[in-house]
Amino acid sequence: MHPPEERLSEYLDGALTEAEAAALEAHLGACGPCRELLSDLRRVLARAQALEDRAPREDLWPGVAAGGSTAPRCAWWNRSWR
Amino acid sequence: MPLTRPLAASGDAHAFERLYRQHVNRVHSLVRRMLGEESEEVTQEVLVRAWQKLGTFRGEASFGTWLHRLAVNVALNHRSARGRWRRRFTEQPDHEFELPARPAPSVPGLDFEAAIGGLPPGARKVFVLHDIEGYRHQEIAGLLGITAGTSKSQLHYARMALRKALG
Repeated sequence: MHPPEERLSEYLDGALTEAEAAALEAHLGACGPCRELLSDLRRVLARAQALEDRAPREDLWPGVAAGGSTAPRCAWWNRSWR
Repeated sequence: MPLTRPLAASGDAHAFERLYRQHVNRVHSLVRRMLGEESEEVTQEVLVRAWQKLGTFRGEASFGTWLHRLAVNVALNHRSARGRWRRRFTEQPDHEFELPARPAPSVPGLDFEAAIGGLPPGARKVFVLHDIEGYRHQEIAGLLGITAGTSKSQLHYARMALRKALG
């Protein structure tokens, strides 16, 4: 019997107790589909952690300079009148 | 550049521009992923607020961490404001953290960023905060007003949906 899938995510995050992790590892040793799912979840996590930052489509400095160099104003007011 | 922040806090535009150039891509990427769409408006709002609040930065964390937390809060409030409006005028409850009965459809090979943007809002925010930004479930629960258990379920749901996008 397979453990709940969510348990694999918890294992990946190191959130299981030692006993829970040992039981899951025993199951993984005998279950190809669960090993495959765990491997997929690892790849998702690795991909997420390797994402690169992207620049905005336009330079926002002129708007930031105009907004930040004056006295604090209400954000909704700025948005409404831009 | 140790003098940049104090100069910027005193209103020096050139000093703050240096901070802006250093951090804008990071802030924009976080905001875009949290909202699931490009939003230069919200990125700009984060940076304007950062400049206006720079005098309150105590240096207990790094400037990058402080700015990052501010960006998360602005992105979350931006969304909540929309949700409040929706609830007030349409009386629709906020289903952000209800997971669909069936997994979110993912297209194999779809750009990973686009796949994150296609997640349900609740699962997307938890995934971004946990797997990309490194927050713990307890912190996420506090930020989003959910339980740590819900945060774990949303994270697993997001990972299961995204594994298909890896092809």
